[in-house]
Amino acid sequence: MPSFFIDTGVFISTIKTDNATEACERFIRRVRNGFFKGYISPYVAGEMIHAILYSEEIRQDRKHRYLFDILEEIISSNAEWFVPQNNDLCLFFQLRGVDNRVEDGDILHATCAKILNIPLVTIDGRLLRSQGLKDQGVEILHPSQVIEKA
Amino acid sequence: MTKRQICIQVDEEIAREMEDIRDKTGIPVSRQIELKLKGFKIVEDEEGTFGDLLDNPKKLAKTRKRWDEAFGKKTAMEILDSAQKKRVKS
Repeated sequence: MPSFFIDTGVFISTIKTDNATEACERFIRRVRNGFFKGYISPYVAGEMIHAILYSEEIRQDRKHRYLFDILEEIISSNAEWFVPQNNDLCLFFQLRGVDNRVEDGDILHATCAKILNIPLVTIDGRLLRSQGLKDQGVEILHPSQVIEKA
Repeated sequence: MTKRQICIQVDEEIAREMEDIRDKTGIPVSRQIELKLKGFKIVEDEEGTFGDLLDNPKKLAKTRKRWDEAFGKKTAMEILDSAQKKRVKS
């Protein structure tokens, strides 16, 4: 079964409509239905929680509702949890050096994908354009590319 | 317990939510306020399930509506980026 590491934006775009929502929903549904195996790390979940906790748009007393949505989406997706172990994260420092435009959190997702030896699925333009990460053997795909390939 | 009638003012938004709950459940607004003051909360158990978001189009549509109302035209990446910037500032 094709396996993918899923970036945070793919989850968010599935529940917050934007120009990537359709592709993200189709991709996540395939993970949900067992056509693809999807992986996330605690860092992906943490970024989603962080986006709500630091959101200026949502009143403090309403944030629990959005946090609940995130948890429900994670559970509903049937994605597997991947927790880097032992010296896995040594690779992070190697990848950190190859593209300064990509943020640390995204390098961490790329590291997880590389450790698992599976493509990283993202809607983040900076990651999709990162030739440095690709040169290091990290395959980076947009959800629509995954759907087309399947 | 003896009941005493008092008049209070609440935010329009809260009143609307309570009226919505009253219409769905039949629990009067005054009773809802009383329950809230006692620390109780009325929560809708959406079809008694958790984790069926992607199998439940009604729930997904409702969730999207809530997120669209909160974040307006912001894309998923903009939501993540603005939270990131705020954290960096703090």
